[in-house]
Amino acid sequence: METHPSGGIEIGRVDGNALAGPLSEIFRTDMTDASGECRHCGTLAQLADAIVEMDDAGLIVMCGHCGRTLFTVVRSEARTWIDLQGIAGLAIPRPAG
Amino acid sequence: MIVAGWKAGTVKDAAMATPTGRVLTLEVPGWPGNLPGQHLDLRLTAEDGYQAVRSYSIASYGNSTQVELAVDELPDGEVSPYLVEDVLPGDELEVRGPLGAFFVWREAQPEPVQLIAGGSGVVPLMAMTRAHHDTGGAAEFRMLYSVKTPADAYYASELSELVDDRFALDWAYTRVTPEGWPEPAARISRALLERVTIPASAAPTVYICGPTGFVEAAAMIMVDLGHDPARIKTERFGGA
Repeated sequence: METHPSGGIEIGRVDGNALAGPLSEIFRTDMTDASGECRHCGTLAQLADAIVEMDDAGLIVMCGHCGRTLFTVVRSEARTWIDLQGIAGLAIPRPAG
Repeated sequence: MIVAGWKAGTVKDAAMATPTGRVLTLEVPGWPGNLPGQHLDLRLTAEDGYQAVRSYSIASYGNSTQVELAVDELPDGEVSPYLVEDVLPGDELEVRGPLGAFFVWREAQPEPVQLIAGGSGVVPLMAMTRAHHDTGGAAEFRMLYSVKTPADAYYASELSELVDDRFALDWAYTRVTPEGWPEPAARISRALLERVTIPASAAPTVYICGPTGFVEAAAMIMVDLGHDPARIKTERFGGA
């Protein structure tokens, strides 16, 4: 397991399936079906296929194609900070029915 | 899909399934049911208020307020040792879900399905296998389940019992094989997958779940065998 030197907190490299819960707090929907366009390489891919590193403080989502950061979410006591610099756009499918 | 907030769940049953893993059944009033393949987030709150959240795939499916999870204990884990060694029936946990619109199998899918599981990655694929068995649809299902040793397999006897003309099961052992096994222990290889998985010409949907390294190795082999990457769905659990 890839671990950061941060004293025993579980940090692993997973994929965008793990974003479903955390992003539901921000986007109020399941984002694993959404697609993101990478600002660096232009690839439009489902977030479920992104590379994700997450721990209790936040998460880093990276483009599965070029590895550059798509977006980060950092949670502190007072607020959640979202950096979307690596995302050119998000395509969120409309719910059926 | 709107995700509701956290719900209280009570542990109904907890049983060791492998030397490091436990199957938990939770009763969650208000649970809206879940599709095969979905997961939930589980939140534990310590006495000092510290909270930890982890995702777990659900082995059960359908409209029940009972959800079944299988948890593997990670050596450096913060949450898994508690769930595997300490938690008891009657204990309360918080859960959020169902989660996951991507890594799901729906009864309406007509195409053949190839499941590839590594260790505890079998959990969401178990939900799919159970659902496929119960629905009686014609689609062909095959599973390749890779484990370190026979003792590390979850649901081994149930899977063997589900084998019929619509569900085939193959095992791979990476460290210790059962007595009389015809091959030495080895990690999954292109040769093995070519031999036991549904061929690309049948255009199956492929679901691969397990540790990150395992999933990426298996996915690369399947692409190399000619499968359309768009038909390969992966769920990485982290770890090695």
